[in-house]
Amino acid sequence: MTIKTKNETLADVGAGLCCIIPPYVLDHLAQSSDAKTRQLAIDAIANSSSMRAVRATLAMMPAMAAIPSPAAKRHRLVYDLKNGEFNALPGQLIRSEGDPKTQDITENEAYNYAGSTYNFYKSVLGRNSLDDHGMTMISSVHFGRRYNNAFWTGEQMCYGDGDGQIFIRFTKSVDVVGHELTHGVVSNTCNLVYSNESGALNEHFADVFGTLVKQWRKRQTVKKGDWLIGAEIMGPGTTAKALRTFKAEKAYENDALLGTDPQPKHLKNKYTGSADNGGVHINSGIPNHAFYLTAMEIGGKAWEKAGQIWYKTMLKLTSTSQFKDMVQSTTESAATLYGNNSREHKAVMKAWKSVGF
Amino acid sequence: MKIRFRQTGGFGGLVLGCDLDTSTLPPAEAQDLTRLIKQANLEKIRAKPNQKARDLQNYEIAVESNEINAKVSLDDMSVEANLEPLLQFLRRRARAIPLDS
Repeated sequence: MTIKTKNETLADVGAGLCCIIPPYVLDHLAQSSDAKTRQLAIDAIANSSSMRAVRATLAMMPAMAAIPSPAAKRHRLVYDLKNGEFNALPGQLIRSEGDPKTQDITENEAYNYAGSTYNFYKSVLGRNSLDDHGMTMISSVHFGRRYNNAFWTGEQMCYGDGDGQIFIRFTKSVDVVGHELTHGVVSNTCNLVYSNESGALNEHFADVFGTLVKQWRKRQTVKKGDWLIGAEIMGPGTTAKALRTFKAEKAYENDALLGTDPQPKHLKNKYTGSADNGGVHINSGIPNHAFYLTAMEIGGKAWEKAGQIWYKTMLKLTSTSQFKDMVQSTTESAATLYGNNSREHKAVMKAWKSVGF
Repeated sequence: MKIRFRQTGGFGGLVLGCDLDTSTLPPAEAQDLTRLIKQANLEKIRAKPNQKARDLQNYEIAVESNEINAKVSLDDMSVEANLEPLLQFLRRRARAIPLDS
């Protein structure tokens, strides 16, 4: 019989649980809709001997200690924060994998687009979720009140509802969902440091695979794709067509609420200040445009060749990779996949040259 | 007292900000702002930006006066409760601005 003293913490109780409950039951309990049960199970898993062995390594990695899915395949959990913020995460469990849709469009979009992103990575790139081991994809919706953002915590996605003027709900664009989940993929692969050029590459990969999820979902050719990020989440108070565009144009100019799109599309215009972690959302415009030029030059569907080159590169880069490493690695990846001096190889070289490399 | 506020990052990568001077604000607003700055205790803030999160909004707040000279940089996940009212005040007044202005 286990006696819980008043000084015991949840973690202490969880440590006890790991000894008396089989792992598969803990996995199940970790998905419980009851917050206390869920926390106990997660603590128990975290305190198991196997976790202890890798904890030192995990502590040094920005990648998350992934919650494994029960069957190591597609597994989505959607939580509702009901306007709560960080201290309320993840919120109330609303929809688990296989559950029927709810009455809330935001919850259903988070669920459906996480599914599209999983399916894209699995069928196009052969990757089983963010960690390639079937990691559960957790989304929390209705973050804060009139909150103008979506973000990746290192463990899960969070989506605000927007203020109704600049933005509406952030789940409405599948490329936003694909972008946030790709941050999870990057954390599990090259794990690019989130500042300056490596941070801009981190944002770049998130935009590339976010837009590829959208084009793949619609089965669009490069000519049919809109090459916009966040087009569906823009509110009625702005004239912006989107937040970013892969094309040479600006996504917005002299807008009363947003000002002018700050993204450069050529190396000579690279931002060198300290804002935005050294311009991670700004300078990503340079490699974004190079990807667009590559895809347009190759033609067809962007995920079939350009996307393969970029994914192979994501797996090869390191956390401190810079733009020049990206140029070199995509060029090498194109030659490896399609041959030296192939059309694809030449398209990559031409694209980088066009943006200043 | 002069206050410089900049908000960058977030999924949208928007660049917003405002520059305020309590000597030119309406008295009630200036009084409110002075109170919120005192409550925020900016000089004691030792923000630790979250290393794992992505697309968080980043904030820079700089305050200059005879009594306070403080500059803090932090992100959404490292905002402490006593700073939140000041951030709300500044966010309401922030507008789109050119980079590094």
